[in-house]
Amino acid sequence: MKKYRVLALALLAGALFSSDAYAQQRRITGRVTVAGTGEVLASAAVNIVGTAIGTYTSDDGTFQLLVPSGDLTLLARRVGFKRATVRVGAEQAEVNVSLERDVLQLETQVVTGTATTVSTQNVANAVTVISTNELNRAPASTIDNALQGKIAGAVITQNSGAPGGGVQVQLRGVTSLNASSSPLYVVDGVVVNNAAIANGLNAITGAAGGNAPSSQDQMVNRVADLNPNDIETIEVLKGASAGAIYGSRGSNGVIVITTKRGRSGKPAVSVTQRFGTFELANKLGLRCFSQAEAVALFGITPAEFTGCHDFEQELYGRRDLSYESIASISGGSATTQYFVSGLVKRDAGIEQNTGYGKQSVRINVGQQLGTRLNLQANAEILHTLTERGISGNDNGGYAPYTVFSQTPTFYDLRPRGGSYPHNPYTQALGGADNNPLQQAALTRTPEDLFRQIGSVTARLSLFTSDRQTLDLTSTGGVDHYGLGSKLYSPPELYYEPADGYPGTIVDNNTSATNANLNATLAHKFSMGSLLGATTSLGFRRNREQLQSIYNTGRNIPSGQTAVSYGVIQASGETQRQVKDLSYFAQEELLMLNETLLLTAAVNSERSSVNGDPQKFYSYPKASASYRLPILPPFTDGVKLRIAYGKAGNKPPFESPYSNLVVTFIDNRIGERPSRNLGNPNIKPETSTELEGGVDAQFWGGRAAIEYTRFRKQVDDLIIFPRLAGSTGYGLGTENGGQLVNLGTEIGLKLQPIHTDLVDWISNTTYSDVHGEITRLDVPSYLYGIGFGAGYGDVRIRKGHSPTEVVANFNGGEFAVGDAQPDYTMGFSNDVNVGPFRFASLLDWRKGGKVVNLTNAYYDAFFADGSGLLADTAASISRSNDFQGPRAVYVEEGGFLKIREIAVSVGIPERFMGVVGSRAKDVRLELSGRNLKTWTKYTGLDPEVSNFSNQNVGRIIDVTPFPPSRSYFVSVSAHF
Amino acid sequence: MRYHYRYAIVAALAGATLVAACESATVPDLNAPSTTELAGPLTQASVQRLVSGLVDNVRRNAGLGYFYFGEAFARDAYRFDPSESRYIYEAYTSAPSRTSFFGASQYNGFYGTIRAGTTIIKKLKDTPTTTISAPEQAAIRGFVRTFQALEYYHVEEYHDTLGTPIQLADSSKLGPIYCPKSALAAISSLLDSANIDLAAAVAAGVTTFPFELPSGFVVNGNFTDVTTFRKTFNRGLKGKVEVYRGIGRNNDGVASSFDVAIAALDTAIGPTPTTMAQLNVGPYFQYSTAPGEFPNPIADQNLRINQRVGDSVQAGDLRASKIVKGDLSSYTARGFKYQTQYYPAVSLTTRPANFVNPIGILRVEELVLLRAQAKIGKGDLVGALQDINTVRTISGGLAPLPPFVATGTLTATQVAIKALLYEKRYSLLLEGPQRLVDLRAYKMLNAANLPKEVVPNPITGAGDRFNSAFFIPQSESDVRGGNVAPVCP
Repeated sequence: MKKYRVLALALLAGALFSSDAYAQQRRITGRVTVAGTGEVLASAAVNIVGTAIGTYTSDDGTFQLLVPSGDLTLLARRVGFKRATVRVGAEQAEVNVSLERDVLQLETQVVTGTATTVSTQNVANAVTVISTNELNRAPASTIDNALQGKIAGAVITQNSGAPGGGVQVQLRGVTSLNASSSPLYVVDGVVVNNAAIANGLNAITGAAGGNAPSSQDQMVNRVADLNPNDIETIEVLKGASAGAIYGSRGSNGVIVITTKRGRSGKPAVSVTQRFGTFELANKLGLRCFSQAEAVALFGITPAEFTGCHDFEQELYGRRDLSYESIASISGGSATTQYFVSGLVKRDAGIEQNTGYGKQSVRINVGQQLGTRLNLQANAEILHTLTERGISGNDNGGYAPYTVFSQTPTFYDLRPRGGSYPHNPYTQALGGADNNPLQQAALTRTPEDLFRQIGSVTARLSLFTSDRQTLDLTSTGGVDHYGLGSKLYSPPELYYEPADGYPGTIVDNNTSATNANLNATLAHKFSMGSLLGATTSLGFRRNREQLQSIYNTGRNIPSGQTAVSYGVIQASGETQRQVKDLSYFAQEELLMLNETLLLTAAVNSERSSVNGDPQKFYSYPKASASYRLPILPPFTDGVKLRIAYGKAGNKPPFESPYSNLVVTFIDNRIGERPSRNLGNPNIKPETSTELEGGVDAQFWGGRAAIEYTRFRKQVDDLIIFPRLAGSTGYGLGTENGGQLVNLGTEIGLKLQPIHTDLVDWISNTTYSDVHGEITRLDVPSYLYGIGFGAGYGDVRIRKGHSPTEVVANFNGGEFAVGDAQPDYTMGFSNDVNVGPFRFASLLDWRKGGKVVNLTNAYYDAFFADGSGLLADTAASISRSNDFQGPRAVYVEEGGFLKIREIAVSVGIPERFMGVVGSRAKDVRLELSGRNLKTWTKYTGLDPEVSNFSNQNVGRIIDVTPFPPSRSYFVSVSAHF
Repeated sequence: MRYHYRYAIVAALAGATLVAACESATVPDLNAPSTTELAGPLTQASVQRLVSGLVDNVRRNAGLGYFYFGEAFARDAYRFDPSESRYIYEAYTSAPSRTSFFGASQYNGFYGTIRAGTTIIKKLKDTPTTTISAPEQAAIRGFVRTFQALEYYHVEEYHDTLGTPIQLADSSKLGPIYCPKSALAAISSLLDSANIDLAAAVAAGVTTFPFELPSGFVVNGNFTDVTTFRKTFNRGLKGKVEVYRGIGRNNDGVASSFDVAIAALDTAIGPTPTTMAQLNVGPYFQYSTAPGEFPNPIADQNLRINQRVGDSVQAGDLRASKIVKGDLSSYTARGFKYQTQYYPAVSLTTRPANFVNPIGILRVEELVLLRAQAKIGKGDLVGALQDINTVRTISGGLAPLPPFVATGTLTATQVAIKALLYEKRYSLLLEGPQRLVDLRAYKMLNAANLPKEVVPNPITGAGDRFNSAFFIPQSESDVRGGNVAPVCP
């Protein structure tokens, strides 16, 4: 360790004491405008190529610079525009530059270090950048919903249709078996918490037995809280070669989110109002009976027959008003810029007493202090209210789709005279007397969250000359939330008394804090067009804390909602604390007239969750990109790139420790060794990634293609192997394997039509990834995702995919496919015709297995194998084949979805003037999300995971909350 | 000036870096005590905690599955769970799974107790006799080994001819997988070594265990007393094991075991019981609904008693109160319909007492019937009749049976076994898999002796399957490379 510190100081000293002679200077002025329209461009960056001299344009698009004498090349650029270079003669004092809009986003700056950026023209990794327009094309509940289908190399899957999130983002395949599955989310330099907190639903559903909260509680991973409308860009670093600088948190990829900032100028106000609705998007299809069948099969009297009720529609058929109000104001002076935004939204759930609400306020302020110091302070305060109802696995008949599997549709569950009919069918079957309509009306499942995310970044210019700059950038930030959930299942519910304790309340209070501080010293050295060198050094400290307290009360007096009234009470607490420290150094060399970029970096990190908390693990990276100097016809640019890097994934919290299990018996404390073994020598798993690719642009920026091939190798794979039960052990903890993912990503951007009237932009992505466990130090084992290989499980074995699904039938165990899709594609199209705009996004996933246990609930209700699903032939076939000759509940989970459609029209400013408004760019929009799904999957939605986010176990469908589609009408205006 | 400013920045940065590096990097185990707590010798206090942990684990292992699955295989009970058809399906229709909560259960937890016990015994070796005296150590060892034997026996009950791994030398190593004959022999010898320790402790003046025990050990008899524990529980369990060694599986019974069983059971039972209280003597699992505690696992609204069990109880049998007649419930598990009007009284959640109702681990009532089985095994039908009638008259409140004589196609021995099984069924209803073990041992777990529950599917033949044991779980089989065939050394 010591050697790094010495090295850092030596480099720092060298940088400070080298000095340049000041050349003779002159002043140039100019203006930057938009090509075609002549509109002035504020906040465009203007630099003298080959020097560190630069500035930004002011509100009126003008700039002035002190430059050395002689001929110069001036470079102007701004986000959303293609860069332009202009020769400036030795005597020239005025320069005007016009920039063309960068509709295909061929040129943006991407973060490559902590405080340094590089243009996409040079970057050596396949970094996907999503702009605010792409992100917010159609309103989405959460940011991860909004990213679906937009990133080549990402498989983004919702866990159920329950409102408010619960989405897994998997970048470049499965990269871990037992450590974290989540990418790292960084918002304005702050690592934000993406933990999924169970709300304690298990105490009601008994999905996992007992009182304790469980992964089957239909959890929401908390990145859902972020407000997508505040986001300027999202950069997706897909693997270790790009994310090495994030050390032992970069292995699953890094999602770098930058929020909007103010630009100097008059206050710009932007307002959007949306109204819409969510509706049930798919049903299982329940079976209707004739009166004669009902009498024969269920022994009812003909008078008891009431037709055929669509239970799914009755329970999930709500189309209540949803709305979203977004407003922002930004502006500022040359030294102070601000961006203030607010959001109020309510997504009404399709089931009574479900839904998702969010209110958020953001203030981003930038202040220039003198010429050397720039401060940027960003803060967001938000509240979300998530109500997800009851769904998913249960024991005893609590989930609505469980009840529907046993309640014939000729029975009317709807309330009469204010009271709900009892359910004699579930009762007779030995289960609880459950009328899901009563459950929806009386149960409350609010999860209230207040969250503050704030950061301050200080950029101090320590030294500036025309060849060198030295900047110190320091960011400190905190992400804190308090989550309080209160599940209330009142004693009046018909099923509540069944367990002997009428009424259940679960209170959860979770407090989570992430704090991090980093400082980077960046030195830039320029030797004209020959060489630009950026050296950065820094450190990062990170601290994570989480405390979750659950109190459960059962046997509650009517009307009481305080857990303390429970005759039977239980409580539990879990705590988590992680402390990390890392040092990093990076060198970027941009050479040969900005055609060759070489980067090398190392991050060295220790973490309290490692077996040896003092030991530093190093994550190097190196990359090169080269833009070909000689191009074939119609080609604007060709870039070859190769990148190599390592990143880690930390062991799960407390994995070094072997525990004693503490129990209570007759008021005494008991202890026994846990069956699960910790490992005091556990270390992070390390992924080593090599990616290479070609990017090319054609026809004056009308077409661009990106091709990337990568190989990601995960060593020291953290596994929890199944130990022999007969030894008294359950799970081990080992760095015991190796995994290799090979994949391809292709991005094709086209602007097929570009006229004054019609503009069509098309973006197609393709990606595939195939994983294989190439080493396993323990015997092959079943991952054990909950319901046994009779239905389907994942087997971990050498030489096979880590997500290989196996099933037992015909007396043996057979591999029946892979949970990972064969490939995924996204098709996004934006067509502008005059004032009209049409945008669409299609998301296609080919292959990938899902274990449909919901069907198992419904099948074989009758002796002929049929059940209460309308498709009786399918039920009969599955029932007959269950023990062979095929795995009937393992299904193909591929799909094609219309994720987004938006149609909008711009109202001419003339017209607004007529009605007396000064509003500009007023648009009326009709948009929809998840409008249509084509799939062979017979369940509600192949996007499903009963156990929430999982590395390899997200294949289980058990009576989930059904999917919904949404429609919104919006009006947006700028002032 | 400018340079001083820069030095200050550099110094501050270097300082911050150093401070960052010096901050403690360690986070302790926040959510559970670490096993490092077990470093060093045992103390009275740590023995208390570890014994309480062990007893609690025995109690938790004997959960719903333990009480239900065996009774389901024996066709005495159903569990109708609308969300989980495998409670029925794996018992009545399909082979038990190697991977499910049903078929792969009744295994891991028991070995967890065995390992916890081995930990205590190993730690005792490092404990000076000044802290815990040698006779006290003997009492602790005897107690722990008796419970280890009980847990091995629970594995054996459920795994039978499919094998029971036993490794007495070091339970943390992979041990051989034994066939019933060898498994029972090993368990029997473990009980004997415990017996020797317990007797030695008493001889050296240790009358009560050097730790406190939960109230289940004093509800019926005082099992905190080392002698009572040794005689009634250790010897009682020894007798139980020897009875099944005597009967054997597949004609490999050890005839001499019946004598060993009778001797052990005589010690355990003492004078012939004359009251229900005496029949109820034994250690019990006790339950509580207090936070962190474990409520009675069969206080469960989904449990049912087979219609035939309710219908065939003899008129006047006091044990009929264990079965409550209610509404007909019918359940469909993968196409097969099961129905019954009977509920176990101990399962009714409408009776709050059921949540804390203790369950006997091994009661004298069972011991008396086991002695009858040993006597039947020896051909002593007169002696067997006496034991059977002890239970029949006291527990059942029924008239004593006349001497067993051959009836129709049944031999006198078969008549005796039938009579015995009647008493066992109603005396021990939902107290464990005793009936499964008996039906298996007497080769009666088949269509010749048990009526069909459902009509098998004419095409697939599925339905009404007679399962007798669980497979070695897939996880264990995977570690052993699939080599799980039992051996009979």
